[in-house]
Amino acid sequence: MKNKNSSITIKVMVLLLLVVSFLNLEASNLKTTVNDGSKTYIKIWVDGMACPFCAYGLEKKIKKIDSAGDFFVEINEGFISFSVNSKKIPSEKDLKTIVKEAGFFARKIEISQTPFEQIANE
Amino acid sequence: MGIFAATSAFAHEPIYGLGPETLPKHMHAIELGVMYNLGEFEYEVGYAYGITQNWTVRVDASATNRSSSFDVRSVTLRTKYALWRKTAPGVLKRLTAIAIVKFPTRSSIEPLANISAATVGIANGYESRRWYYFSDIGYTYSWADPNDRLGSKMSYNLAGGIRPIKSGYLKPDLVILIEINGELSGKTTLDSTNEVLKGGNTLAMAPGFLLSYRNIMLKGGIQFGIANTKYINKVSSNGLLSLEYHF
Repeated sequence: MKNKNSSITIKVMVLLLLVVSFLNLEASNLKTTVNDGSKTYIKIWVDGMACPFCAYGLEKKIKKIDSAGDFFVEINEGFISFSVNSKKIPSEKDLKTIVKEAGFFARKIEISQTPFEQIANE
Repeated sequence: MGIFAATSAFAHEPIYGLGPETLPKHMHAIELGVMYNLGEFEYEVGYAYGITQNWTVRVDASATNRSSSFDVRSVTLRTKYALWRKTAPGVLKRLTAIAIVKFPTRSSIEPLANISAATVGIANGYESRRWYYFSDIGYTYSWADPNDRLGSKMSYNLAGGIRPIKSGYLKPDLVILIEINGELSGKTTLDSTNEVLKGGNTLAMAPGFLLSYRNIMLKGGIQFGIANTKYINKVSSNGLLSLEYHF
């Protein structure tokens, strides 16, 4: 009876160790995506963006923004997102001008300290 | 049809007609094209620049290699100005004014080379993630030798297109187009050769495609005459292929 209890205890401990290890692994993965505050993420809902070829003009302009990175376009949903250095966030007016000069209209601008969810390019 | 260079389309717009597309501000574009018509090849190189998001200028030069001789057929300067633009999610509507000037060039064998011409036109377009519609109208006045009276031309074009697959941003993107190209020509009197070319109307159809990947676009089309009136011949069947690069 004592041996049976020991066996159950060992199994539970191994299971707990596995769960803890898994949670630690998840936590370490999360650490890589948590922003340390140096980056700010910008998402612009762009009206008029009908084709990828035309959207390239917007990509070219966004990439000229100082410290811009992580550029992403979701053409079917109609938004772009990118990151900038938190100390160099462009003004909403500048962002609207950039989109306008690419031939489109910035309907909505969102700013976040965490990355926006990206829909995978099909 | 054919005083001007063979290929002159910007990005997503009709291949044979005038289109409303203007480049983004400070965007450059180069285009290399080849047209096959009546057993001859015509080659074209074009450069365009977006002065503002509404105002684009473009220079084109085209040449033929008739009878093993390489002759410059036309040098044209064209400009487009977007008069009106309306956007919605995934939709862009535009109305654009177009002006084109063809400069005379020297050629011993190319009859259209020494003609000067000016065109004014207006084009509108509807672009969405699935459907494309375009229409345009243009008026061309030509002149050459003082004794020659060249007939004016009025062109009118309708085009529709579809994107069969709404692909992602980093995937190749295909749009299939079908165009109806019409042209009404006035009477031409060539005193220098005692030749009178009476006017008429022609109608042509042109299926085509626009295949792009990021900032590179391959465009192609085949045009064939479907009707003619009075003294103007049907449009001779021709094919066109061009490569456009934006930077």
